Amino acid sequence: MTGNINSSIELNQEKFRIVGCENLDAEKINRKSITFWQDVWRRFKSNKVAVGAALLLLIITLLCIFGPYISGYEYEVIDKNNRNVSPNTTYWFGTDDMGRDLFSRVCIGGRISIIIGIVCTFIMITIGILIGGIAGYFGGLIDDILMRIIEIIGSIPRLIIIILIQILLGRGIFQLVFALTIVSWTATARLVRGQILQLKEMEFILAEHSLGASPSRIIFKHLIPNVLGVIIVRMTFAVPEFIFEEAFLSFVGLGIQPPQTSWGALAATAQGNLMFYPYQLFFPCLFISLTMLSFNLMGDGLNDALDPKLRQ
Amino acid sequence: MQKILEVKDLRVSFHTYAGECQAVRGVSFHVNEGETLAVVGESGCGKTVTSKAIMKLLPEPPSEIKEGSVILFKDKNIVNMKEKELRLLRGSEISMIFQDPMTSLNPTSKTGKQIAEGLMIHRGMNKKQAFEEAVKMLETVKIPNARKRANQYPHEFSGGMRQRAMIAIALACNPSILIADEPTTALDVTIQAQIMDLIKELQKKLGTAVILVTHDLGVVADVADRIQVMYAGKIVERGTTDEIFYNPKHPYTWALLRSVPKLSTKNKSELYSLKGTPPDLVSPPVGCPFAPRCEYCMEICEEAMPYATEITSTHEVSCWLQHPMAPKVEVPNELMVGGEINGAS
Amino acid sequence: MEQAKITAETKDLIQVKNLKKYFKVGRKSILKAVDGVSFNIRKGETIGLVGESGCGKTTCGRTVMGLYSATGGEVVFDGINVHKLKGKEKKDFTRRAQIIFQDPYASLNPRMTVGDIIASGIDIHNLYTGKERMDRIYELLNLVGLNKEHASRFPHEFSGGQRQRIGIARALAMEPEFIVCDEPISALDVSIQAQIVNLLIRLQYEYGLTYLFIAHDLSMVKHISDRVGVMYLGHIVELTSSDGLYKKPLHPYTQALLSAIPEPDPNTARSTKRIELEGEVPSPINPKSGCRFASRCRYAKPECYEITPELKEIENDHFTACHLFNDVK
Repeated sequence: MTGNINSSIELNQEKFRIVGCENLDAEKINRKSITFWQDVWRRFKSNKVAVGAALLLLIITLLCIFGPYISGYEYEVIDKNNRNVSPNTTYWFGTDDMGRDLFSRVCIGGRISIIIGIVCTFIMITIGILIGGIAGYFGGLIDDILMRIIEIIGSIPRLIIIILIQILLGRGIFQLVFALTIVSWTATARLVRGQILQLKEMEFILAEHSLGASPSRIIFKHLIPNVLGVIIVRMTFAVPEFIFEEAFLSFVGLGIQPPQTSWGALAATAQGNLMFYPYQLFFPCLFISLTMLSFNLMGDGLNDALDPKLRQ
Repeated sequence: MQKILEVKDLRVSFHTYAGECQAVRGVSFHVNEGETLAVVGESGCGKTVTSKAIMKLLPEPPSEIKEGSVILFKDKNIVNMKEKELRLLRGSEISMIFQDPMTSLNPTSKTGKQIAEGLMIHRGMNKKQAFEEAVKMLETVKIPNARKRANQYPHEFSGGMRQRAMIAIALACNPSILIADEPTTALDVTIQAQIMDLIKELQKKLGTAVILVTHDLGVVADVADRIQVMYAGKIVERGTTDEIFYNPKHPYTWALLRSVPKLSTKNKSELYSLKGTPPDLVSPPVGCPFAPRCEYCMEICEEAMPYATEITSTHEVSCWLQHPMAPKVEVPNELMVGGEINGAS
Repeated sequence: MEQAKITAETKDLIQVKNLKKYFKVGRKSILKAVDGVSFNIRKGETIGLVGESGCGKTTCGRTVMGLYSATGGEVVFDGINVHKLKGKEKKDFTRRAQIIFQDPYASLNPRMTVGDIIASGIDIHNLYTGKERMDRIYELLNLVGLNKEHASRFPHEFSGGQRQRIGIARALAMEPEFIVCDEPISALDVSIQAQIVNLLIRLQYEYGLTYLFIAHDLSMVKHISDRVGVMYLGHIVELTSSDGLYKKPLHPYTQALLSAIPEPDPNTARSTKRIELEGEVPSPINPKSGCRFASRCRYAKPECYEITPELKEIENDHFTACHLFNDVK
């Protein structure tokens, strides 16, 4: 510390009059205001892998929506003259053993797979938040009863429930969604309950109680916004899980029934021709893998972006 | 006296969304062998960052020790040390205790084992020797039933006990410097008194130099040999304990001294209070950082940074009031009165 | 501004009678956080509660507010039994009694703007809407020394002292008569503590507030309070005027607490010898009978381990619970 930095400033008696600090605002905040979500977005953006994954997901989704219109082939039209054609410029992904365009089928199958993934996730999260929120917020006997129910559901093998439901209600997309969600909400409910239990003891919730707030205000204005981050991360990991589960069930013949198709169903039919036409298995599997990978990478990025500990 | 640690022009920045936050802005000081140096300042003044920088404990990124910073420990520059050298240094030559003893102890390992670990790594003891030494250390920090306690987990200890265990871990390898970062802030007053007495006693016994980081000037009065006051990433005043308490020169030191609560003040009278908050170091002010909160602020204070003026060989202050052109300002009355009353009682 | 003198004749705003609050821990253990505490708070007075962590002072404050249900005893607020209130009455009561919390980081919802946080009470009770609501927010910000621009910012942008003032503004929005200050300064830097204490004293003068001020630091409590109660493991061991407590502490625990306050003067600090307390506060889970302080007390007699001492008036308005003073008077 020397004086030479300040040599440009001329020192005179004037400058040494005490003016005090009355006029100066020592409470001023200079930083620009940044909301929680802006901050999350900023951190998510800086994670190149996660952004790449999100872009890839966007491309896959767009392909599933518009793909069939680009290729110009209907997914269910059988063309006996063009069976098992290898990928070429007319049939980008080739055709299957009934001569249907595989590219269109992968796109249409993707629609079903992704829709099942998203719909199941939303239903699962809604039930999970509801049950977990009630258990965590009210606690006591209600919590005990709900937790026992969750344990019972969790202790029955999932496959048995899914098969039982399909025997009782028949096979189809709705039955499948129903079967998948009924067994999967328990983990989310546990997660939400844990978060709520933790938040409930925070002083800002106690402050709300002391202000006379109703339970609905506390739940919707305070608890849910604060568990939202965790829920979003849970959702991004749940979608690929459902897609994979649907694919698995369709693959073993318990899922989507023809003429409807999905990535899993496509893989199942292609399996028989694996020795001769491996591309028929390759494309649906590629899409399943890419989707799963991107969802997981994006979820990781979101997880980091939403972690309050990593905040700077 | 031998200088054991010398910090020259230390600059540390954090990279945040709002830009570069210059937490430490050119700090130079030294620590002598066996002395206690207190670093005092409000939260966010850079005192903790400085002490962590000495151990190179700051995560990079977001933090960055700037080019040109020098931390000399026994003639070696810590800033340039490799991770391997640092591991040898930490715990054996320089060790640190933190504000929250629970988060700095490993909850899944027995306390005795945690003390022994350091001994095995740094002093090459075998398991049995190290454990015996650990028990001895627990006795040194006055934990009753040391042998039984050594086989317990940290959660079985109370807050004060944990801080004692932390001190035992820190001192086990007989380091030359102990950095204590707000060691008593999280503790109750009676425990705080116990811990401060313990640190004082052990220092005399072992001859360790102590860097005591705190926001409370009241705590350091009977422990520190020298005090340096930090504000907004800079040292604004330093001196021996007596110089800081009996002949303070910087208005910020006055403010800190005046805000120490005294039992003798009249009930419900207006207490002296420091207004406002420290500046945001993302855009540090060009002038004296304390100017917006200073009663004696002059025009020059907002325009240029004051330079350090030497009062005695040990006492140094950075304030424009020391400039020959500046008006003469008396030390606030209540500081003198407070001193007299305290002296008399 | 001078405050009306508070004497023993001043009307009581709150009477706490043999208040008990137990928590069940595990199957068989009971944590007796507050175990038979009685005191009164006069209108316009500040009563301080000091004690080390785990002594039950925070639980006591929250139970007095009605935030926790009482295990035994009662709290009478201006003729109303706080723990018997239901539904709308309970909601209305929150306008009369408010609380300020210890942790300025945990007590503000990180997802809400400061304006919305301050307006919480206004929104819950539908006091104001639209422009009036905003004006009220600005008025409250101004009252605690912050300005308009701060309303749209989020809690994490503020320093500890500023956040604590936001918490005070939130409580003041309800225009309460009584505020429980639950360690409002413990988490702050020493230099900022005075800001908050001054603000609280000023608000008390201006609005005639009554405070229950909880802290572990005797020096600040002594400054703000008219009377101080010292708590140890769920019991009040000494209760008297703050000057009386400082000048003539009777209970051995109070003496040790006073002696532990760090001396901000190097010469005196070097020459004075502290009364050092051995060990730490025992666990409040299934506490033993007898005086709770006996295990750490220098003067403990055999009877101290047997009989729990009662809080008795030793001198005028000076109460203590200690067997040492049994023969006195």
